[in-house]
Amino acid sequence: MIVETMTALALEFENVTKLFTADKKVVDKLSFSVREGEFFSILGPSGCGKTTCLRMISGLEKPSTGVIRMNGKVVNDVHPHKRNVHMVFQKYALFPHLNVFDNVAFGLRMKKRPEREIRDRVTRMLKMVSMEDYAKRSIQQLSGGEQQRVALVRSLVNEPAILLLDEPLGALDLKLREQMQQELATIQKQLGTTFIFVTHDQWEALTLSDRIAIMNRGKIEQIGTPAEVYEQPNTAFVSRFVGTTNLFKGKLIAASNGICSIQTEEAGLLHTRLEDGRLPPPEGVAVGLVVRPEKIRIRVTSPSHSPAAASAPANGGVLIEVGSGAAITAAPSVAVAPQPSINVLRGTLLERTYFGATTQVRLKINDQLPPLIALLANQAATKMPALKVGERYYAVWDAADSVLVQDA
Amino acid sequence: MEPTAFTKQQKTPAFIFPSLGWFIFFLIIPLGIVVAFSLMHKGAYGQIEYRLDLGNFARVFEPIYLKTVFRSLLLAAFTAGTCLVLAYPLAYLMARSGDMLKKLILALVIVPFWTNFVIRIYALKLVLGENGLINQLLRELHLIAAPLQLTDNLIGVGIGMIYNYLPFMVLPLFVALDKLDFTLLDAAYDLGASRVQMALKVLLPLSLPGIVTGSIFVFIPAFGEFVIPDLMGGSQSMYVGTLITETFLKSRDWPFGSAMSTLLVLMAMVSFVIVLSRASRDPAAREMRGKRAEAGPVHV
Repeated sequence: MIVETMTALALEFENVTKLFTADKKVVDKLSFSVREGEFFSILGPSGCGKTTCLRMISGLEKPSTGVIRMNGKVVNDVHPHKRNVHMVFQKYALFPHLNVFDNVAFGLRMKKRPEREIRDRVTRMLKMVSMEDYAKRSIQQLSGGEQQRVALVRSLVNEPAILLLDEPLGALDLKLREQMQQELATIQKQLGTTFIFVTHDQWEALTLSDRIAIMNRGKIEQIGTPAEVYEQPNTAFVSRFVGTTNLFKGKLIAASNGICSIQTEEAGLLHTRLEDGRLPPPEGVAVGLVVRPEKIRIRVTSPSHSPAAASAPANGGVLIEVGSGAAITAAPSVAVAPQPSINVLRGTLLERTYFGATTQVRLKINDQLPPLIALLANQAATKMPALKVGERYYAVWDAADSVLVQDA
Repeated sequence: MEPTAFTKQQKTPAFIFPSLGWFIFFLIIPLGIVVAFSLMHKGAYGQIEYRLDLGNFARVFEPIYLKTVFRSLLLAAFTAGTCLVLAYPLAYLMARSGDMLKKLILALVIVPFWTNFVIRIYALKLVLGENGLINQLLRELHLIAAPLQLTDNLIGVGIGMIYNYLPFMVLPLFVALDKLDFTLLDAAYDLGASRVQMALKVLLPLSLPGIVTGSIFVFIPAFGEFVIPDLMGGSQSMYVGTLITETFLKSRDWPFGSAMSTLLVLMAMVSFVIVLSRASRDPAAREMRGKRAEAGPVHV
């Protein structure tokens, strides 16, 4: 990320719209760009237009309006075969009548490359994915992961400028998928090929990508690094689609010093800190407040009622803290009135689910709100017997740990 | 492996006895009788004399009969080839169309079987006749002055054969193509294949089992066909099937007829074995072997 501005753009979409029928916009005024060598993911639910995007990049579909550029050149009318873009298909689409070698060699043979060159390039590619001993195997003899590798190098052997991957890991079981994710990332770094990866699997997108575009109903809701889209979602949709989330809807009533106060109907006044440089929306506007489950701490007593206990938890055991170790520093100031730097909600513990590394609890605040979800680290200091289903607890989180989103 | 109740049951599958019995009584034994007759001598009045006579087989190789065999081979090859060319696009269309259209075309392909074969051929003869539907239509449209001679000649035989055998080609092709993963064509296109290359390098090899099955289903019965040439071909053309019927029924030379029949069956069996063994060597065919088994019932 040193000379980011100097990197060339492998792909640009400028106001690209695709209509299937006169009034059905599959892709609506899409603008984004992908840098050379980037691992770029398009994440979205099925039917959001991500596959149509891939097809437009590959040239199988033409945009209705707008411009697609590759390496600075407009490619709207460039034939698919002239684009130097290749695709890895969802279920691999390997040719069952050809062996591994001939599958990988297919593209080069179509281009009538000399047989000697084909042998060298195919062998090199098979070596890269440790499949050189499988050259003569038939496709039916391969496992899912092996087929995946063959499908990958069958495209890569043609040295595409952009490789499109259409949910390529969807057909694999969980363990194999994680292993293939690693491999995919390694190969991408090694070759420096621009990868455009389409998926509906949020975790896959988070772990693999340099940047993610989140699509919904033909539009991009947000583009950013995995951390950005997870920690700072722009919209309620993004917060819901990427990871688990707690969302409160309300009206912005005040904004000062980067702290926004939101009046919600169900949970009263809540606060959030805007990230640096972001301007608050006008007061009175409908907004959402998002807080991730792992940012929430569970307490037996209200931090605002027992200021002394907050600084001295050992003192008579008035306060039992459950959550991360950072919890103690998270309530730094001593205040009697509710302070805008933290949010506190009280509710009944509905359910406790043990995940090994973490425990998830669901807290019923009131009848109007869906249960609040909190994810607590399982540490020695925070042993669970303290938490009982049916008891009432306080949920606490920092204003800086919650995010303001445009209401969906 | 410990034999389970299921595997034990598989060793003596009682349910195959009915069909086995059927095959023995109505196929193996009659075939044995035909082979036996072919080795015997024809008496002066057409009766069978039970003594060995290999002359029947020698006679088959006389030029006049060889010519008939050759003509039949040609007709069978023409029928299979034309049916393949006509059926492939139809089967492809069926495989790629939606559920409703697929079922509709399938029904249209199968519906003719509801009418007796001989009746259908007679009807076809009427339609193609001098005052038949086609000639009348063409005359009404002033496309022709004199009626076209469409029956009682080779054209009639060709139309009749194709009409009758087309479904036997369509169905196995459809079964093969319907199972085909058409994203393979997208993949080929993505890898730079032209439309022709897609057809030759992907579609053709993957539908080969269907092509082989369909060709067998058409070629073998077409080779021995005698009703269609008899009804549609007028008097001039003689094919193996016609020859055998006439030898049995008109010349009453059962031993010679049997010898021809035996050779016909042998030829069919040999070509069948060759084609199948070649097809099974091909990995794509191996993958699709299950499909051939499914394609089986359509020839009933």
